[in-house]
Amino acid sequence: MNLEKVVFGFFVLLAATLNFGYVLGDIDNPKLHNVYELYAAVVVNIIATILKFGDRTQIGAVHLATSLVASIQLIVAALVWIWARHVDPGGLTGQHMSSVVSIAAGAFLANVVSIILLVVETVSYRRR
Amino acid sequence: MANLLQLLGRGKPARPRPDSLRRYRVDVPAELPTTDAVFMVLRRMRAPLVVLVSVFAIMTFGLSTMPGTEENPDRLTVFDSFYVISYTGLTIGYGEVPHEFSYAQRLWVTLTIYAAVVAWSYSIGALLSLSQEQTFRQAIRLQRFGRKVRSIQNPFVLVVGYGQAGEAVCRALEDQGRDFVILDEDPERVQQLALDGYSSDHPGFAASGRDPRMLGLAGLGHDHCEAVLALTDSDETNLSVVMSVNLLRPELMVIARCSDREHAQQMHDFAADVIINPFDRYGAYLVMALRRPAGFRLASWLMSKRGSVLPHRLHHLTEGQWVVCADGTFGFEVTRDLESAGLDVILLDPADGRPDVSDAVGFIAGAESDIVNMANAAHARIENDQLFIAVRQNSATNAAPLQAFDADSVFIPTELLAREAVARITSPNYWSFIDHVLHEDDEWDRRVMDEIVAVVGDETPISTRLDLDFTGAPAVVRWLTEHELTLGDLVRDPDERDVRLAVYPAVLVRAGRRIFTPGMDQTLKEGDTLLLLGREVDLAVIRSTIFHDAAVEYVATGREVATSWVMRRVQKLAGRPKDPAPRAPVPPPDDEG
Repeated sequence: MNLEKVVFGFFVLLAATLNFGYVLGDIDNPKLHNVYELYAAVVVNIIATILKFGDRTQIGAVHLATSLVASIQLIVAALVWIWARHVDPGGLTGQHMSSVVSIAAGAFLANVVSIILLVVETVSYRRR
Repeated sequence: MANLLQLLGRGKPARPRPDSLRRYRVDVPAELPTTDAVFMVLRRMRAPLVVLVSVFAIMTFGLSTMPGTEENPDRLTVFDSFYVISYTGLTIGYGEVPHEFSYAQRLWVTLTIYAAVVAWSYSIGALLSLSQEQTFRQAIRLQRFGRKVRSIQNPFVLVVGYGQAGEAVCRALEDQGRDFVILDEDPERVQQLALDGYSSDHPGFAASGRDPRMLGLAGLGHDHCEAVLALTDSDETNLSVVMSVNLLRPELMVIARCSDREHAQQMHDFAADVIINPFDRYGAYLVMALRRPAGFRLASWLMSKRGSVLPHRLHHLTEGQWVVCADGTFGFEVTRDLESAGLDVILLDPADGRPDVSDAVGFIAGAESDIVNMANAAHARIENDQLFIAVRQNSATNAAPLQAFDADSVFIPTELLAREAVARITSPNYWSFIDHVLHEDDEWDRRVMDEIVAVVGDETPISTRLDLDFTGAPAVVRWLTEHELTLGDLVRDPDERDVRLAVYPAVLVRAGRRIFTPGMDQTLKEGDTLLLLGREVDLAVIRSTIFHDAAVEYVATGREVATSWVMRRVQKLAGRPKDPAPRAPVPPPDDEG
C-alpha cells in the first residue's frame, strides 16, 4: 500500500463528492445550496491540486490540469456568490444562484475526469 | 518542393562531411534528468502548502461559526471570515471588521494567529532548507547554464577544459570578439572564469566533457556552435569529445590536444580536424627556426596575439651539438624532431645532475619542474656564454623570473596550443595562409614578410574575409558586370585614390582554388573570396567601399560620382564624360624599391 496514493485518492474523491453534493438540488434555489459545501469543495480541490505538484508522469500532469480546472471554476463560483451576497444591492437572487451552481457543475465535470483518471491509473497499475 | 522552413536562416549551414562515422542521424542529447528545479520545489513544497491551506480553511470555517455580539447577533459570513483570516493569518491583523467581535470570535482569531505563524514558519523553513540542499543548487545552476547557452545569438566555440591552454585560447577568442562556452571538471576553474575579467559574461559549467549530454547542454546541438575545442589534460577525455562531435555533429570543426601518439591515432580515426601535440610541435618549430628563420618569424608573427610586434630573429641558433635535459615525453618528442632534422642531439635526464654543455651549441631545459629548468639553464649559461638556451615553462607563476633570465626561447606548451587553435578557428583561409608560409621556401617567406610589413607595419595584422558576391559586395558585383576591377584598385582609399590602404591581400579563393599573395594587377571576378590582412580601420574602409557604387567607381576609375540617386540622374542628364580625364597611371604603392 502506498500512503501517497491513499491520500491523493482520498482528496480527489472528497473533492468530487463535495462538489456533487453542492450542485445537487434545484439550480436556482439558494436554500438547497449550502455555502459551506461550496467552501469545503474549494478547499479540498485546492489541496488535491497541490498534491499533484511535482508529479512528472504523464497521467500526473493531466491530473494536475483537471484539478486546476476544477479549482479555478470553484473559485470563480465562490467569487460570484460573494458578489451576489455582499456587493449586488439586489442580494442573492435565483438568477445569481443558478450561475453559481452551473459554474460549480462545470467544476464537477472536471472532478469526474479526475476520478476517471484515478481509476485508469489504478487499473493499469502493475507491481514491477 | 523544398521545405521552405529549411531556407530560413538557421546559423551556419552544415558542411557535408564524408569522413564521419555516423550512420544514423541522432539528435544531440541535452536534457539531464535532474534539470528541473521547479519540479523539485513543487514536490518538496507539497506538505507545507497543504498545511497552510488546511490551517486557513479550518480557521475560516471556525470563525464563520462563532456567535456574534448582542448588537450584531449575526455570525460572520464565510466571505467575511475569509477576509478576516486572510489579514490575520498573513499580518497579525489590524482591527475588527466589519464590526466589533464577540469574545468567542476573538478567541478564535487569537488561535488563528498562532496557528498561522506555526504554519508559515514551517513552510518557510522547508523552502529555506531546500535552497540549501546541494542537489537543488546544482539543479538550479545547471538550468541557468542551459538557458544561457540556449540564448546565445552569435557563433560561439565550445571549449572543453579550462586549464592554462583553455584560458589562453579563451583570451585569444575574446580578443577577436568571439563568444565561447566553457566546460571543465573542476568547479574552481569554472568559478575562476567569472573572476578572470572577460569583457562579457561567458557561460561555464563544472562537468566532465565525457558526458555527451553535458556537451549537448553546453551547446553541441546549438545552431550557432561553430567549433569544439578539447583541451583537457586527459587524452582520453579529449578523445571522447572528438568521438561525440564526430558522431553527433560531424559538420563541426574539432581541435583536440593530445600528448600521446596512440590517442592521436584514435582521434584521427574519428576525423578530428586538428590534433595538436605541443611537445611534438615545439621541436618542429625549433628546427624551422634553425633551418628557415624567415618562415618561422613570419608564421609566429601571424599567430601571435593582436598588437604584438614582429619577433626578433633568434640569436646564436646554429648547427652543432644539442643537449636536451628533459624527462617524460617532451624530451623524447623534441629529440626526435631535432634528430630527424639532422642535428646531433644528446638526451639527458635531469635527475642525473647538472648537464655538461661545454661542447654544445644549444641547450633545452625541458624538465617538468620550472625550478629545475631555471637552475639547469642558469648553469648552462655560466658554463657556455654563446649557448642557445631554450626553457620550458610549465606554470604561469614563473613568468616574471623567466622573462628576467631572457632565455633565447621559452616554450610554453599551453600557449603554443592556444595560438595554433585560435589561428585555425579564425578562418580556414587564414590558417591555409599560415600553412602555406610554413611550407614555402625561406626566400618567399622573407619577401612576403617584407611586403606585409611595408604595407601594414610591424604589429600583428588583423584578418578579414571579403566575399565578392551579391550579398557581400553588391557594388563590386554591379561594377563587374560591365567593367573591370583589379585588386590594386580595391585597396585604394575611396577618399583619395592615390593612397593605398594598409591592407595586404593574402589569399584569393577562386572556384575553390587558393591563390596566395595575388598580384595587384589581378582582376577580380564575381564569386571570389579574399583574405585580407591589415589594420582594423583600413579593413573597415574596404568593407564599406564594396557596398557603395560611387566608391567602387571612384577607386576603379577616379571619376567622382554622386552618391544619391537623384544626383546621379542629374549627372547622367548633364552628360558625363565617357572617359575620365586622363590620369597618370598610379603605381602600386607596395612596389618595393
